[in-house]
Amino acid sequence: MNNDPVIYIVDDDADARESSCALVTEMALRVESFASAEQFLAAYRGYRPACLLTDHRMLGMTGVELLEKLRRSDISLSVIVMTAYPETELTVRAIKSGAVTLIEKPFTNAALWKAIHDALSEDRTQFASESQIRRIRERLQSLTAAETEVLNLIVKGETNKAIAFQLEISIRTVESRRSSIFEKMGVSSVAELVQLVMTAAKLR
Amino acid sequence: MERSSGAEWNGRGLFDQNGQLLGYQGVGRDITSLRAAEEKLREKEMQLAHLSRVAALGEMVAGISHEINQPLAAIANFSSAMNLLLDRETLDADAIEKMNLWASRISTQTDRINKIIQRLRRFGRPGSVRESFQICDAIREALFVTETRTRFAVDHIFVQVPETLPAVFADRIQIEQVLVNLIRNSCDAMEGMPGGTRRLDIDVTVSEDFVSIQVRDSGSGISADFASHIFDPFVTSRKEGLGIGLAISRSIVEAHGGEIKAITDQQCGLFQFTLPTSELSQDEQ
Repeated sequence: MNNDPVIYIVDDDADARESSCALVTEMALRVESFASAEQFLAAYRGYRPACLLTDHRMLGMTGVELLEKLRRSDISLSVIVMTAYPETELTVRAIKSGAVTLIEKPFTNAALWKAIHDALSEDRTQFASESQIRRIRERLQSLTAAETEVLNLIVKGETNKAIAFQLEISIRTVESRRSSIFEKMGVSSVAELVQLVMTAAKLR
Repeated sequence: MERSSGAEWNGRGLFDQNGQLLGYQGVGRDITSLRAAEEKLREKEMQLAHLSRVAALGEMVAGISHEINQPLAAIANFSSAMNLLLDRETLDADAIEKMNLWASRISTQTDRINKIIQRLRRFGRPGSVRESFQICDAIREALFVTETRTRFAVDHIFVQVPETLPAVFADRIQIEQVLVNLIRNSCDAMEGMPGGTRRLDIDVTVSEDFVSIQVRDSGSGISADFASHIFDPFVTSRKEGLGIGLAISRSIVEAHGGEIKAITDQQCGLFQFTLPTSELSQDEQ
């Protein structure tokens, strides 16, 4: 059960919410449901893989506001926005904030299945790349201040000689720090190292 | 000439200084065109009243699509879930119980949609029929029709009605229209105010032969300057407003022998209108 995806359903209309729960449960997926965006935010503990299926027009915080709030809090959970009254402005806002898709109520079983499938696969990709970034950042943090100084110059494309000159240290010291950096970062070439640093910088 | 087709007759006797009858004088005027003009005006007012209802309907479309699509979504979901269950090889007692539950929930949803449609149909109907009714029922109906708007525009709604209240004799749909217009106005007046502070009060009081209805919002109020022509057609403070809501409201209230006014220089927006109670209106008939 441990790594099963969870579908979070947020809808303030009890009939609509419970019917969505019934349908998603019949799709053999785990469901947790909430009657408002606020209730969901209070309960969500960051579980992944997951996706959020939220109605837009709700009392209190709307679905798109919930999506925007998640993004501001750096939570990249995949979100599907359901709307009973589609408006262009709303669609643009939702997609800009990174909603996987918008589905119009009432929707077919196939449309919901596809939306959930897309959302979960996006969530997995996103989560994997975030985990990778987290691992790279941890490794970067394991470098000493002196090594970080050298790393920054290597990434800029400086030669050992230039680095030694700039930092006023011996070439031998540069070489030893360089091999220590390669070892800690788990790379064997400058190209790989640059790629890792760029990946780590991707978020934010 | 027939009197009813648009002629007006005045007759008088002519007398001399001594009071002797000299003869009779009769003056007949053809007022067919006057009657026709009056008729046309009434028709126009009716059309305008209808138009303003239609305009209100247009504004309500977003809310109504939402209201109807919610139960439709529930119907679609429950029936999709049933289809998924039916695709299974065997149906156990548990599955059958689930489907029973879903089927009855589907029929609840159709009732929900039906109610919305019925109310809309009544609201959109043109024409004028006067009847005796309780003003609080009209208030309830007006609040229902505007619910999709007030849900997001108002934080607190208070309705105060005295325990014993005489019925009013009026066109119920038109009076609901006046209430809807005033409620929508209040929502507009409170736009941009911080959430939690937006309050709508509807108070009913009885004075002698009149029932008086006050609609008050916690907006910034109406200046005396603006109030003097606030009921004129096409006067509006809103960019997208038609400016016919209050004009229509006034013509409806006045046609019923009542009075409508904007109360100015209060720390709130306040409209008041009166309607004759049932006994009075029927005596006059």
